[in-house]
Amino acid sequence: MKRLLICLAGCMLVCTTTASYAMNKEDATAIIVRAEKMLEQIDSNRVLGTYIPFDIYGEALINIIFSRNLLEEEKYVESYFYGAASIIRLETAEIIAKTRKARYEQLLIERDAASTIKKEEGLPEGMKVILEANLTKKGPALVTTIYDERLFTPSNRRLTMTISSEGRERLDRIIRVLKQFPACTVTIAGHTEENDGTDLSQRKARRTAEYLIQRGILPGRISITGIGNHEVMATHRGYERVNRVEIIITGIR
Amino acid sequence: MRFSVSTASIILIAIVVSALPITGAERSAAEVRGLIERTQKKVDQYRAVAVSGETIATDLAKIEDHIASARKLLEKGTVDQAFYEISIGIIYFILVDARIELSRAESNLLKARQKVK
Repeated sequence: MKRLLICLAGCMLVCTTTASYAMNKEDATAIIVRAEKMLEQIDSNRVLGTYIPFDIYGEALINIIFSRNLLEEEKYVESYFYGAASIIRLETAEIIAKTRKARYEQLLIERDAASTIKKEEGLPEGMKVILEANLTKKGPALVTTIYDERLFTPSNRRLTMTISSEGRERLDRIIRVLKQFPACTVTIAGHTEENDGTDLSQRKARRTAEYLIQRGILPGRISITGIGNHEVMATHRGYERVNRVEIIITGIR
Repeated sequence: MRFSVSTASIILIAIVVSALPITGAERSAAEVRGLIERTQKKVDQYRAVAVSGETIATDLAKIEDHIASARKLLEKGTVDQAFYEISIGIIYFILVDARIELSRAESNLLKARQKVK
């Protein structure tokens, strides 16, 4: 009887420990899967992508790796902790990205408002339309840059070729310049961040040109080019490859 | 050498017990209790001063859930688990801060848009 009781106690001990491990393992696995799904969603979000703070995003990535490693070592409580921490960090990274985007948009609005010249006496009409179009002088040309997410209607998975309302507003101002100076010509250059295997940069430039032509600009005045990811541009984070369209106007004195 | 059943059982129990994870050895209950109290204080401070009260109410409630869970785990004697539970609650504060900043940025953006119109 005594022996039987001792054996039974041993078996119960094994069973309870095994059971508690099984419960924690499921929780840990579920939270890692949730974190990895969130990571995937953030990676595929083209609109917020450039604004994601990499320090917090990187920490979240490391937490997921730790979590997976601890899961394999059967340290389920610690694995769960790192999984939960990574989810909180990913949510935070997304919120910070939205904050940066909002601040950037505010900056653009304030900059546009500052450079918008109301009808003042003495200022030539040509100068006014150039200023309103946000064109800056680069050598003999006037240049402006429009980011993809401002020019085209955003989509989570891939870039659409539909010009957004903000894009139309920017391009209409360019069109006013082209109509004000009928002798000038325009080059539209498409740029991408990634290797341009599908000629995306060329297609973006062509779509932009189509909009100008639809609004009455002669096709002979427009040339298009796809640069791919061969040119970087200066941003607030340094020189980077950025998805954008550059509009270069020449022939205005 | 012959082993009796009782000896075998004792050896088996000893092996199983030694394979169990060491709980409570790395952190003391007092340390974890201190963390819990400090976290609760922080939650109360945020509640008292936060302008964007509604925005962060859900997040503060989640932190309090973790505080409550940590307290229960501490009462049960699972100190390490209580530590991890309250640590998750503490990490939540970066989310709270980020949400407050987002609320401010969106409000400023709205004002800027209205000014232009």
